[in-house]
Amino acid sequence: MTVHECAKAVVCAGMILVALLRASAQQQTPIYLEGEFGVAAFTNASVRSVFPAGAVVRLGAALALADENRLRLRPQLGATFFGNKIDESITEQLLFVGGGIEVSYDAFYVKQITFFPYVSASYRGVSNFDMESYDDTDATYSESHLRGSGIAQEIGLRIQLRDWYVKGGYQLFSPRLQARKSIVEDDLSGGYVTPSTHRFHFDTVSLSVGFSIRP
Amino acid sequence: MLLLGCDGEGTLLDLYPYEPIVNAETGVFIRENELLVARLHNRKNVVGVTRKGWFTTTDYFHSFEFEDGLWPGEQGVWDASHGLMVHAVPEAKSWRLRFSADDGRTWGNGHGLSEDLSLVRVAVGADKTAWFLGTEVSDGGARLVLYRSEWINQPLLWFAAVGAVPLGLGFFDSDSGWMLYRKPTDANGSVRIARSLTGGRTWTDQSVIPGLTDPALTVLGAQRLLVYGRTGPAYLSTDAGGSFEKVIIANGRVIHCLPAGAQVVYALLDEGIAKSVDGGKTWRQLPAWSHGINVSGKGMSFYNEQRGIVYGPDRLFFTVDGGESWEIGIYPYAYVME
Repeated sequence: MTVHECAKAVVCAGMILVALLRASAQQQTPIYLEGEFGVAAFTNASVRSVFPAGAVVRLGAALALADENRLRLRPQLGATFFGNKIDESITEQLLFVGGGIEVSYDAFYVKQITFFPYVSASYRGVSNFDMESYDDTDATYSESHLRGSGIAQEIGLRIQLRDWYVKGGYQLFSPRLQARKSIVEDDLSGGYVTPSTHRFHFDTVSLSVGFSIRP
Repeated sequence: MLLLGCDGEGTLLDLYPYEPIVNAETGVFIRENELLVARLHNRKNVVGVTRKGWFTTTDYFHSFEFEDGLWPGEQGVWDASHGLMVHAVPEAKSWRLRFSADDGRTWGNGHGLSEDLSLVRVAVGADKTAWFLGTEVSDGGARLVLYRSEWINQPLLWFAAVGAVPLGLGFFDSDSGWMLYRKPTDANGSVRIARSLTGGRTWTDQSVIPGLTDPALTVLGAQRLLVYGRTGPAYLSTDAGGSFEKVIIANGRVIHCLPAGAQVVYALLDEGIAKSVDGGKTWRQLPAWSHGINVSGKGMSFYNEQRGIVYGPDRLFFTVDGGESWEIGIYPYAYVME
């Protein structure tokens, strides 16, 4: 998936969320529009040496459900991006894009701070490609070197103060990626056997800040 | 901006696994060296000689032994069969004969052959008997000569024929064998087939095959014989050379044919491998490639119908399923030659 495709997905997600919010405005169930932005780092040292840190963005609509609306169910879309500057003009990129659901629970509070343990599961597409740019406005993107998908699972804690929250989580994600055919062929002509797919361990820890508003 | 372009080490693709197809250490066989002869002795044991030494492996070159030992001078003329390797080395004024009973690891020198001999073929038969076929020029003119030696003993002139040009030789056992020859008066490309039942002492003309260039023969059995032009059709005899039927092995050039079982015969082609499972009557070209490389070479050796090797100066391929699939043991990939 390229950056353009990613942007399209985010726009689509926004439109779906707006539709959800409108549809729910006449109903009893409270719905919160939530968004967050943060940083992520791989726990696997080998992968982290290539991509030391990345950026996380998520957007979702949380439905307050049972137990006096303490249970939150949040369909969400999100993307995680990692960059590795190879030289002045080329940056290797690793992009996770996907959607899933997050379940959190208003476990307890201290004064005005509410603590939400959460778990989530999402389907994520993965693409690894290069961005080539010789100035700040014009960039070209290579074909994906590696691409694939998998199911990510996350556990963490959200600490909320009024409409703002901080969130820390640990995500398990081991997608099976496929190397581009020309890479496999080039390796073969050089005398190396490259498997057509390989499972990567992309477990991450993340810390993000976000908002939760009731339109 | 930091997140958009952290300076990492390497790329993600570096973490994608890959395996070298061949053991890089096999470069010792082909780097400023070349593979001369290889034999498959049992299921996995390949033994052979390079220009710079002898080797053996029991796991298709994942590991191997290599012992230094220079192959003398020119490649010469040689044959290996029945546990004996015989090598005729051209020297300034004679042919030096070398014998090895351990696949080229150690050699014993035999008596030489005259400098007047132009050697065409060496054939090793049962009982460690070696025949040397060639042309000898003397005051009386050129004549076909056949020398025979037992182990390293002095080769004896076993047969001679004035006015005959030797082309090929093969023995089924220590008594029965066939010779290909031509007479200067024969039509261009005609090949005469003679048979001996006396260990090469006497020969009887059997038949004539027209139109064969650069002919060779492969003995398939006591009565079965395959004669083929390297660039033309092949002829199969099932009556010890009395008559032949034309068979098509392949469209390309046939380098060598080798029996691997009662009915199984392999043909090494300049482009690929062909196989017969009915004693040489019909042939099928095998899917002879591995990892994108066409199987090719100068020689082959089969342990049984299923397991065999094909080798050339800088490569060796092996099959364990009768040639239906192939793996690479030695190949001049860049990481091997560095």
